[in-house]
Amino acid sequence: MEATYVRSKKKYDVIPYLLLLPAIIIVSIFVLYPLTNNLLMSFQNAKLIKTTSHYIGFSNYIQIFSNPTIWQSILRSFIWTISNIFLMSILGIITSLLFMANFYGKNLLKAVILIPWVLPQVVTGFVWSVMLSDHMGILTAIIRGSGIVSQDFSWFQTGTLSMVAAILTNVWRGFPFFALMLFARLSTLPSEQLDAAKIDGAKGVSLFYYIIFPYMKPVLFICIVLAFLWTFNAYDIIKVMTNGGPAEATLTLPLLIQREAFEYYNLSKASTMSLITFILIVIMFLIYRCLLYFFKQKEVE
Amino acid sequence: MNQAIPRIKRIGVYLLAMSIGVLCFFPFYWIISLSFRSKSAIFEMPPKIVSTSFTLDNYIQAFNENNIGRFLFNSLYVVIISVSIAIFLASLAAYALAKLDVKGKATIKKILVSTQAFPIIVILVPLYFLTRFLNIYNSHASLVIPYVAEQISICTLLLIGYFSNVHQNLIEAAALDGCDRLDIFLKIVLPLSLPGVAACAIFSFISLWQEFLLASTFLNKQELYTLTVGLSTFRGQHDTDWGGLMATSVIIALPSLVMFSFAQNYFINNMAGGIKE
Repeated sequence: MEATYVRSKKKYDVIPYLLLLPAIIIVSIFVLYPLTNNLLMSFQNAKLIKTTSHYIGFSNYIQIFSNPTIWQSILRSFIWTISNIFLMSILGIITSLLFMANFYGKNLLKAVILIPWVLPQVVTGFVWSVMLSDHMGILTAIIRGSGIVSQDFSWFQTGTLSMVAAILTNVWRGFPFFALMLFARLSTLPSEQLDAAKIDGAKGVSLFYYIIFPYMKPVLFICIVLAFLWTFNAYDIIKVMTNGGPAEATLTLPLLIQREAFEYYNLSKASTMSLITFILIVIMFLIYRCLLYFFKQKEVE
Repeated sequence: MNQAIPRIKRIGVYLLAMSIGVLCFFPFYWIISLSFRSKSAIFEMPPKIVSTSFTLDNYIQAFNENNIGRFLFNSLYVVIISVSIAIFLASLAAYALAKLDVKGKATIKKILVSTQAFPIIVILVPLYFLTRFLNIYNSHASLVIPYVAEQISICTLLLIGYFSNVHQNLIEAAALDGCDRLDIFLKIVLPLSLPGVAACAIFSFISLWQEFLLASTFLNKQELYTLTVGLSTFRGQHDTDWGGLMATSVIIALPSLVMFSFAQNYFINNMAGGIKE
């Protein structure tokens, strides 16, 4: 349905386009042009110190892909993203189911779980660094006290545990979004549908599997797509907590790009890496669309 | 309904609710608690959950020695200017897209949506060259312009939603009364959508207030630092002033939390609206 617009009497109407123009110009120059400029730069050899740069063909690509660093970073980025999304989904689903029950303080809890979401990420990174630190961390003290680990247990000595620490922090920040989105969806679940299923004897796990989960699935998909974009490109928390270390074990693509450009001054290389990241995002998006199409086809059948 | 739930289940619900509540609240409490502890109390191991130590030294030092006042001013300056420009330009664009006759409307909207998918890290290097070219590298303008560009598209998309809700009858009535389209925008569409515009401004504020990647990459002079970058000044080569860092964290977190509590209902409605589409 097309709305009726306010039209002027003149045939060629420029005012709407004039209103749009400033926004379009700024977005074009500072978002769209840089995006395409990456492609141009990936075939040059720009460095921060040198002023001129010239065409060098595929040399950047060859150099980058023949070095294991990029492959390791891509792998790390995917491990980081997938673990994050998996844990956020589970915690989010559990919390959204909790909100379906009646209990005192529900509204308070809804406000409280937004704290992680609103807290600036740099601050989140620092406070979790403190809580997990070797010599002043309350969580380290608790886990050492519990006797599961040795007394010199440390989160930031090994690569795996550093990654785990960063993932836990980011999950803490992200799961409230899942919880509230999913709860918003569940609160529109028709109560007749639930009651009918209950009369049929569905409860607990089967109620969740046959009624609740299928109903929350479309929103869960949206959450996962958004979380993929945020997490895949996340910079602040890892930068603050581990700075990519120890021994590059938490160096994901965004940290790699930033380091290559502004610590090693290989700007063209960093541009090429940005382009690779960009292409990876596009590929993931296409895979998502295919999966979505596939599922829809299946449901029609 | 409540009575029907067996007792064990109810206890389970409360236990779960409490653990999620503590999980979400504790780190926030910890920032505040540490920020009021003396240097020695911060390094107690194992740490005390409630400390008897109370001091304002961390805040006083943060302002006197680490120049937090300056960083606070810089943050406010950069973010307020960016949000104002972004909201102004976005509301013009959103009005054209929501209420006026524009060709290629769907394409423009699609481009705006797709820019959301490609965050700053992907365009970091070209942006650096642009700021060099425009001679604004290492100045606040090198943050303001990309911030505006980043926020315009999301604000336009949000505002289209709010402006579309303004009823067409009102607009047609005003047009019959001889209002031109600018009058209609200023006297009808904008005032009626004011709560939405305010919510949109608050979301932009919150997301730019915590921006770290550009601010830490494009600013090299300490007197230009914004708060998030200023936090790093507490980190020495060998030791970190955690008290000052936590005090500054409180100062960074408070505006976001206060602003968010104003716009919370809008936030949840936005999410619900997003689901319907």
